[in-house]
Amino acid sequence: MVRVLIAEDDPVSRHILDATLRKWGHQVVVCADGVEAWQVLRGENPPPLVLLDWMMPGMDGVQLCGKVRQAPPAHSAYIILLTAKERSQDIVAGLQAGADDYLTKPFDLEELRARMQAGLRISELQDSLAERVRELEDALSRVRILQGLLPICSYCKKIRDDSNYWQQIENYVTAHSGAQFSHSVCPQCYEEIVKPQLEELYPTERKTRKDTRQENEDAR
Amino acid sequence: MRILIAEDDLVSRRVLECSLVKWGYDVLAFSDGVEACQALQREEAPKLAILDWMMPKMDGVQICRELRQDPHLQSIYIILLTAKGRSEDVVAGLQAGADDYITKPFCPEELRARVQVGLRIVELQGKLCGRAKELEATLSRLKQLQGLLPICSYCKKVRDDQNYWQQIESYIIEHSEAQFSRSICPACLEKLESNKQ
Repeated sequence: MVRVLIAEDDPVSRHILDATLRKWGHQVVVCADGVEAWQVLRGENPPPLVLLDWMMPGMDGVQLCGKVRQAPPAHSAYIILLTAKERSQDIVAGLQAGADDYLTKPFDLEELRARMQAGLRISELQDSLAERVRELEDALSRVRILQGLLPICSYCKKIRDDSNYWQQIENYVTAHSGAQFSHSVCPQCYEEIVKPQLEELYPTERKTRKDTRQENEDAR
Repeated sequence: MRILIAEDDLVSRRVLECSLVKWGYDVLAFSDGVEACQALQREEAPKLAILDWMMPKMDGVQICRELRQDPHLQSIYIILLTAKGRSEDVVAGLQAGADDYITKPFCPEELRARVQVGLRIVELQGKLCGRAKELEATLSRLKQLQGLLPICSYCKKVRDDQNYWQQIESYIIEHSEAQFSRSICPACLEKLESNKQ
């Protein structure tokens, strides 16, 4: 269900538009003048499609178009101007003020529907692009990048952090990036550190194994 | 800004082309719907097209339908130009995928205003696309340190993808924006000095 804003000062025309759009399955926000419509359009989550009467008290449709187009580019409402003015110079003035399309009264309802569909396709395309940009910006803001010049201890590989505290490199890197560590033992440290420790702990077992191997070789 | 026009009538095509050139646009003109449709599907195609409805072989409405089938060509702004002015024609043209509709004989200033509307929309979409591409490129360029890294509890070497145990400093330099300055922490300094004595 697409939300559509109608701004029309004439109660009869407004009622017909409102009833028609509801019949087509739209959710309608109805305003009786340009000032009220501007309040809705600059509010949170404005409707993507706008039907504006040209002649309205307070702020007319063309003035409202100008205001919408001066608002930040994120505001991409698709505006169809509805009016009895049908001279070419009026159409030009309406479009130049910032309307996306123009329909002269009395209008054919099926034509209005087709023009609204064209507008919706454009506005959906823009929304999906804007959504993609938002997603990417969000992803970029979440990326944790390990950067800068890190003072590292040449012996124990601890890193001095911003609060002048020497912390384990694993903790530092995990806190500043997407990496995690699994602790194990590299072959060199196994030979140099772990193996001597094991031999110290289980001297007999080592001997037994060695003896067995020797015996096997002798047997062959 | 480049605009593609497709119009089989020579005089109308010349008038249209001259008007657009006078307004400062680059024009790519076709007399044939099939050629115009192929040109619009190319990588560097103009983002705005003015199509005559009635053309031999492939008419403007058929081009609209053809282009709208491809998700990548949704953003081409199409103005249909035609002598058919009845409401049901407008409806048929817009439903086929045209963004706007102008009836012949047209007022040049009205065409100009409609072209400007189309370009405003195309430019906004272009900006959004450009921003998305820029962000994608930035994200892909970032060297991110991630995953589960096997580290030796003693010497702090890290096993890389080639199963090679390398110094953690060089691994981090390769996979991030960080550099190291070699120093010595107070604990190791103390140990070193007591060893000397």
